[in-house]
Amino acid sequence: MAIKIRIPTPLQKLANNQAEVEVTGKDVKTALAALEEKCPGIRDRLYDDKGTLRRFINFYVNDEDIRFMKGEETPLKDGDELSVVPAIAGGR
Amino acid sequence: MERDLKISSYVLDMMLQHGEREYPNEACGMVIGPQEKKAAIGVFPIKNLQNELNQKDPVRYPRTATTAYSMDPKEVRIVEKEAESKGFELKLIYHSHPDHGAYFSEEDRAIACPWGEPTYPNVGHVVISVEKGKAVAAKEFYWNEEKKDFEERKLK
Repeated sequence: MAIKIRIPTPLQKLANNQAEVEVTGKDVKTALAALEEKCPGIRDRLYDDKGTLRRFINFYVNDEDIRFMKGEETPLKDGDELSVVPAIAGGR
Repeated sequence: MERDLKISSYVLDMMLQHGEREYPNEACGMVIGPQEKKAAIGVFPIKNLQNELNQKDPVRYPRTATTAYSMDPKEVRIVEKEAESKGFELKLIYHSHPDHGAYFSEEDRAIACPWGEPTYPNVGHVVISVEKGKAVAAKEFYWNEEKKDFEERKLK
């Protein structure tokens, strides 16, 4: 299943300066594992040291926030687009 | 170098009033301006998702909207896309601190720089202090590429 992953600007240097990387994967987790194969080092930027997706990096499947779907288990189908977008957030 | 992004009193007022409207919660929003021009002219209040995130997953998102903000990414994308299609771009990100000062917190800084450098290096962060429902101070924090740090300027 071909999945297009959209890479945010600050991480594009890990992705041959590409804004999009194509991988295969049946869900978000496997797609991100495949991304690490193609772009070594990117996993550490997306996961925290406990191995969970970083809190302030958001992931969208075709514009739907995976936090409101099945998180990393959110299924993917051929042609889906997975976007990695740093959250705009903060607090005092 | 002096910060040369122009923020009119009208734009500043819109941000301050938004901060007051959302009190005691944190308000957040985006300000856009023409690409290639150093002027912030269009204010877009954005929904603060923090309470929803906190209700859904209090372990991962322990804070509520009284002490944190998290912009609704759907609204962010709409504003970004619309802005781009009209030759505009993001100039400022703003949020309010209810009953707290206008400072750029550790949390603000960490999230603005998820990988050590800012996600939006050319975009200033405006923080508005709202005391008892009244906006009393505002500062902009902007990235200095040479110093690799945020500098501040007083807006109110």
